[in-house]
Amino acid sequence: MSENTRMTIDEARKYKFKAAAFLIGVAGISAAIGFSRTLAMAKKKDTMYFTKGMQESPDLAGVQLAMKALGYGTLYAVIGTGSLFYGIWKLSGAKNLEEFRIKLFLTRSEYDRGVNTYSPEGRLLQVEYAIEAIKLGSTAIGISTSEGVVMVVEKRITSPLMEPSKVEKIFEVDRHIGCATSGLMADSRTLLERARVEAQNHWFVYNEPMYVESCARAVSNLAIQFGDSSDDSGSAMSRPFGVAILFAGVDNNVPQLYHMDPSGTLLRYDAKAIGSGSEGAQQHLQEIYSSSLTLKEAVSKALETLKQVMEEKLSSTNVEVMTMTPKDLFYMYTKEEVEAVIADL
Amino acid sequence: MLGINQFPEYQVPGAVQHQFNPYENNGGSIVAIAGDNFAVIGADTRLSAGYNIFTRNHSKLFQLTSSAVLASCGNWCDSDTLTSILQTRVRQYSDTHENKEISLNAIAQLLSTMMYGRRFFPYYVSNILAGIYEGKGYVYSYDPIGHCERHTYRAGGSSSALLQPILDNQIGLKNMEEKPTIPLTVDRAVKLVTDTFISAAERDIYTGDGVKISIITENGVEERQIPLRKD
Repeated sequence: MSENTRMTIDEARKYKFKAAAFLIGVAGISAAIGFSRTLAMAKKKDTMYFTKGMQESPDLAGVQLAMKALGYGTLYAVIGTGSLFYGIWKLSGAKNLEEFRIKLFLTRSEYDRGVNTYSPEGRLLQVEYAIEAIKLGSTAIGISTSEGVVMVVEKRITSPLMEPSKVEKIFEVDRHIGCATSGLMADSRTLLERARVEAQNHWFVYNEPMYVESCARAVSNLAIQFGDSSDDSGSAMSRPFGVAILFAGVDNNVPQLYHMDPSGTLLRYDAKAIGSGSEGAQQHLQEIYSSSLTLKEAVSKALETLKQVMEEKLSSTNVEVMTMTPKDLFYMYTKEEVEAVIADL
Repeated sequence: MLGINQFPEYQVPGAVQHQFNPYENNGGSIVAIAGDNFAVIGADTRLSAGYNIFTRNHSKLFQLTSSAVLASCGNWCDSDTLTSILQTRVRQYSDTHENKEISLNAIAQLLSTMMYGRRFFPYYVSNILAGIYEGKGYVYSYDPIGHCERHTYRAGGSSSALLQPILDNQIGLKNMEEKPTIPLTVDRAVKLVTDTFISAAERDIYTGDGVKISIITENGVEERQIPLRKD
């Protein structure tokens, strides 16, 4: 998606340059014509330039004054308005003309209302807002190693009266597939349900565990079924799901990690972070990741990364840790095991 | 059988007898043998109904992947439909699973699910699936409603009762006090399949004309055809 978006933005920019050049050209030409006409008229009446004097005007000085006034007036007007608008633009902090227009006139673009309407830049704004919604969710981190995949998530315990064990962000889809979610938890349940149904159905029909990618793809197919449903698939969502999911799984003993976002984009990662701390965490993961990581190292590196982006102090009550290995498949760390890993950090 | 003839009081003008016979037996026999690292599967090439022969060169073998061949006989139009749908499902599997080829075991379960899906109007076919899975030879046989069973050798179709005892004796070594230790090679399996069909063609009018044999090894599928009695 990002590739496409970049292309459309590039094209939109080119188009804007062309449009601006054309407008400036037209304005320039008409201004030049207007000025030369006015000047010619003025000159005609001026004896200073027209000594033969076909028409003698009584107020010669007046014409000269008018000409000067016209010249200065134009200059001041152009500089004044230009700097005023430039100032507003700079003050508003808008990055492009579209944003500037929105900021200046205080109206949002009309293109972010419907989930099935593209903006002229070729963007589906509701989908992009849904991706923004993930950044409000709790952080989840996954690291894939040759020995297995580890996923850690932050649990936001907003009140001491909350029961921490019931805040669940990591789920078992099948014995060989697990997922961590960030964003709207209620939405994630719908997607999780689909993943589980697909995995069990695959086993029922083919008597083999479902491939991780196929399972994740089945979920991403559901994720993009928003908007008006004209066919009888019926239960389509009216808006994009506000969830990003990390899938950890094992196919024929090969551990793998996939990431899916509300646009349905599905990509395989060595290490990926989602949620509120994702930007910092992803940067950190990029620095620490190496393909020779052991699973044990990956668990502590993941927790260490989470620790850096979490607002609260890392403890066994506010994180969940899960590993997916060819031998033990889906395995959630117990409170004691989490404590042991945290103590070693 | 209980019918309208047993109830003379109903035999009046206007009494309608409802009958529905959608099935026909088009004959044919199939045999498969699984070895350590190969599988051999054969089927005769006669397509018949009653005393009529429709064609002498009709293949009942369907290669599904590079390591799986299905033999299907019984009602020809049912086996034609079933194998077409199965071939479609095999293609769809690789389309939806990143171009991975479906394994023999997955086909075995898929076929069972598909056939049980027609539990109350079954495909009137006898199926045997043979192939290689993780380097080993496998043979699966089915009943018409999809029960799937794994064997090392299996005969099906019109001559199954003639063919199975030969295999029981030659490969299963049933009821022998001193069992010979003859290794089961590809050559021996092909010869056994050929011999069983020669025997069947001798006695069964629904089996004959020729036998098509597919040999499935890790290198792929090799096909052979051997002529049989044509009467």
